[in-house]
Amino acid sequence: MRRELQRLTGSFGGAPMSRREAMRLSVYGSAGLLLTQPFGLRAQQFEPTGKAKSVIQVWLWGGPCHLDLFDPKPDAGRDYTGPLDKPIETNVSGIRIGQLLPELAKHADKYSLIRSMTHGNNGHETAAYLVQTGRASERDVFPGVGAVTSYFKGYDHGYKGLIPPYIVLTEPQGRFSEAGFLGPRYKPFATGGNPAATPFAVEGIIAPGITEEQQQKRRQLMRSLNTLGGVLPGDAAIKTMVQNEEQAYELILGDSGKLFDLSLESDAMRDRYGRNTFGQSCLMARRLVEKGVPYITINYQGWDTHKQHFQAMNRKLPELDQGLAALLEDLAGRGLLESTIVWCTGEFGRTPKVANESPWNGGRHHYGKCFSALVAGGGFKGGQVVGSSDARGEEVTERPVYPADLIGSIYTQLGIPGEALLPHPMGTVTHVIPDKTEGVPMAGLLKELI
Amino acid sequence: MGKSDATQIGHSSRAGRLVVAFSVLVVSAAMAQRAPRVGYVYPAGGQQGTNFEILIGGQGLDDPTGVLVSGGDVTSVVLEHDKPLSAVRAGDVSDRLAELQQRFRADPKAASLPPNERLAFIRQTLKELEITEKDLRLLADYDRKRNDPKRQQNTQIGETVRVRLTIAEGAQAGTRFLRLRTQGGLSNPMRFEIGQHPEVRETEPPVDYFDLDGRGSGRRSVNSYQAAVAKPVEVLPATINGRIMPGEVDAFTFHARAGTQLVLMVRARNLIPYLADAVPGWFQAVATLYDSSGKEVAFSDDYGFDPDPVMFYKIPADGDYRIEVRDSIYRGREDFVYRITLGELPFLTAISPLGGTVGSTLDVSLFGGNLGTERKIQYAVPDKAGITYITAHHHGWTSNAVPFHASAYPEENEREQNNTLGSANEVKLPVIVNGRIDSPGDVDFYRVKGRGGQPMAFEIFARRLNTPVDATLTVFDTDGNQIAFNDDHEDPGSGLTTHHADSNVFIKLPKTGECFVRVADAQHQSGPGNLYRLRLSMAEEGFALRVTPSSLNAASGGAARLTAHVLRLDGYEGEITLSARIKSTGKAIPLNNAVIAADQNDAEVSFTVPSSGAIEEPVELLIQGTAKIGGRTVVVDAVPAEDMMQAFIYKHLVPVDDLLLDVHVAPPKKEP
Repeated sequence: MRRELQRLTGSFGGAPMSRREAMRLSVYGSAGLLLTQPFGLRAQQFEPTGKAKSVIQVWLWGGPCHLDLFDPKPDAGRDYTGPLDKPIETNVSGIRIGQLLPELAKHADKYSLIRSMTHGNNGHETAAYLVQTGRASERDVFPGVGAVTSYFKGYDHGYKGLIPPYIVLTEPQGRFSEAGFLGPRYKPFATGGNPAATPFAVEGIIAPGITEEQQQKRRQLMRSLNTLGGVLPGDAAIKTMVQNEEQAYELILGDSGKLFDLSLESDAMRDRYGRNTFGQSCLMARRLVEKGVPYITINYQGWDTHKQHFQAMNRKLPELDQGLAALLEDLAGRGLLESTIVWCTGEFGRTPKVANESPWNGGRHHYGKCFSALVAGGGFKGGQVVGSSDARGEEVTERPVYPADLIGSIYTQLGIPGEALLPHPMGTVTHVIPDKTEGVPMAGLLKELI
Repeated sequence: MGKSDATQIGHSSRAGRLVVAFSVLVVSAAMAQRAPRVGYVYPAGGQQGTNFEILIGGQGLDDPTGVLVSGGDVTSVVLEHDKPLSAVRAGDVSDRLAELQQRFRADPKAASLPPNERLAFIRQTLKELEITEKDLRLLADYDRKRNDPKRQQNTQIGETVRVRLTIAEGAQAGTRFLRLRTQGGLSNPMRFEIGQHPEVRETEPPVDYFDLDGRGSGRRSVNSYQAAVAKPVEVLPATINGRIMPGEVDAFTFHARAGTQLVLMVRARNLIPYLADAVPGWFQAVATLYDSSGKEVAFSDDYGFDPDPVMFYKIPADGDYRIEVRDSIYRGREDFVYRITLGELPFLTAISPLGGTVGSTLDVSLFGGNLGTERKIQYAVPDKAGITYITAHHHGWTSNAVPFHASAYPEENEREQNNTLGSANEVKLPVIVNGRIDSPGDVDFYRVKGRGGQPMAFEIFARRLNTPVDATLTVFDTDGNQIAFNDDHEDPGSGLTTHHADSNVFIKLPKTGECFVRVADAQHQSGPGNLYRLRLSMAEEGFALRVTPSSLNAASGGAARLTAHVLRLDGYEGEITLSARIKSTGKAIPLNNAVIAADQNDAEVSFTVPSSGAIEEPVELLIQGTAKIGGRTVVVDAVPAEDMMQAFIYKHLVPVDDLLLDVHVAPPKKEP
């Protein structure tokens, strides 16, 4: 029991967490973290300042094709464009995007496109690591942007919400250790469930089929069974556990938990985002930003289209278009876009040349040499294009942007100094943005957009 | 088949004449289409002197005309081509089938008909409704793939061609390459084994096409996951053939006598080396052996670095035994094809030495099971440097093949103790050292002399020779300072290797004098079989070539395209000029883009074929690369290969026997 209590109060090791453990830590633990100072890893004593207060990362898991989204190449020929050979004009003169993104085309003034992302890695795991940590996967396991943000803008720096500071909608990737050497304290809370369903069954907070009355009864039952608390009334660990439990129930039954109740939004608003998992995740992300959650990742699956690529694009791009455009417009309308970074990309692009041969029959493979990203808000300028690729989208021709450049720029906008130290477990001096001694490919922060 | 008691040895020959057997050869302009692509052949082999049906699965298999098998002595007759039903056609057949059921129900006598008359009634009604047996078969397959959550439509292997093959009695046993020819051209090659043993095929679950008594649409719901019914194998040795569908475990039973040294050898990855759209990127077979009480007595999921299982088991008591085979993570698909050879058969586990000097004759020791008493043989090393394969023979049966490294250098053996710089073996370049990591932590040092600035090449051959050594090479100067290191070095010429563990160092010595080369095992493993061959030589610039694909197709008067892949050796950076000719006649074929520039490793090459119509039989081509290296003219034959993808991402150049060109007539242009 004591061991269990120690776990709840944070003195556990760095072993991988199960979903259930993550839930316990994030719900019981998120409350507990308010009260305790665990770990040897303490954040540095500075207060981050910056235009951006929150980040929404739209992670197109699997790798979207840059030609079909943000870097169309209509003149490259059918072998490259497939049927998507008619890009559309946006509301910013000179910027054209993929033809299945008409809603985003209306808001190009709110975002900028980077058409020269590059890292050259074609493996899902290694490329996802690269894009989200800025560093190549080697001996050390670095934290991703969300965990670093949580480290610098979470509970260690005055964040007080009961909702954990780093939320993933809805599933963690599983292929990527978000917190790296920062440890489980900075792992995201993955909601599980489906925000497009009613209710949005957030794991550990909202249980489908269990009424609030039933929850209250369970709470009473637990209290009546709390015999250990009676035997050891002064035990600090038990006291902490009870406090955590109170906080957890506040999260489940109190106002904080209502945050996840999307039925509180109007039907019109829900329709605007699209009545699908991605669209409702975008709406949920906006609600989390309103509550001050510093980092939200929307893990949007289904972009690994080795086969039947264009059929998949016909399904997915309209979803992405509606949800992301609604998010940008809604954030802007509420005055939140200025303080909220939205970035959208995947671990890589896809092969510009369509694989028409068997067994692919119209697929696109992984392509890390050249791909695109969208960035908006949080102080990033809109209506800009950074860098360019060649006529077929195969090579970066101008202003390469490496992952470290992009996420370094995000840190800058969040007010996290690039030279701030990360608590490397071996004591190695490690800055948030890699310095030259690390040999990480970089071409400079996105000063064009800042 | 004559059997000999003497253990014999020889290297396998994959070059051979090409015999083309066509049942039909009708080339019409109207019928021509794109080249076929084959995903599997089932069964992927057959016994010498037998006649049997095979199923070829793939895409674009319209209008098949015949099958080509490298090495000859195989003839074929195409029986039938099946193409998956479109949704529209499936709906149409389904509607008619429902009508059949209605008619059956409406006829008061029909239900009480005896079985033979009932069948006649059904056949007559089918005929009236213009439904063929093939329609029913395709509809059942359509339903199965749509309704079964474990199955999916895989366009790339959705079509099938049934072919009857005849293998001549005297056909040479071994691995061949089979291609399907259609009026659209020649398919990619698939591995196909000519075996010595009787063949057994797994029992396919019965498929009933329709259900007249049921209340549904008349279409029977097909359950393809029936409980495994073990197929008896009556006589050993035998070769078992099967396919694994999702979640399936195939089972076979056999009787064995006490004292039998059983060898069970699975081929799955060796038949289809790489699956482009699967992770892991091949059918990873596992095999389990049970005794008559149901107790597991042996299990295998690989053999050394070969993913295919091999099992050795000495039968302790007379009885019935059961083998089960499945995919390691219970995947399955039509192309999860396997062959299992089972019996008291010769099996080579190792040979020593692992190689020798070209043109020499040397004693080779054999290790393994069921080899008889002759464990050392004299072997004539081929005249050409490279990796060749040795098989053993016992009681007329041929063993598995193991690699042998023929090199152009003198040979020396490692002399222990040489575990320190100070005790390094002094060797004179160029040389191949036969060494062994024989104890935990063993490292072997060699001392060589070189001139400052002179390029030198140090290279390990171990993993490519199937030994467990995962080498590292470290080079030190005379003061003991490390000046070079390599752990793994990718050899693109070794297309079936997925862990390129053999180290390779290319170095220019900073100054004239001695240097020390250290061999170690990266995994700190050791043992009597942990052998390696170390090449220590001055750099000898050169190159090897691969050309892909190995089946070239062109329309009459059109162009054939291929890619040449250059494997640059010992730092060669110069240009290479390609040439092509027809192998049988020597007739030269002018190539476009024939020069591979100094900074290129891949080149797209094309040539135009005459506009004299389709050719009767594909022709074998030879591509060569010529380069001036150090004042010499070096000519290298390109090895035909297939550029295969594994697990969505990794690419491998997998060698095949021959490079074939087929010419067909282009389809007429459609009216606008």
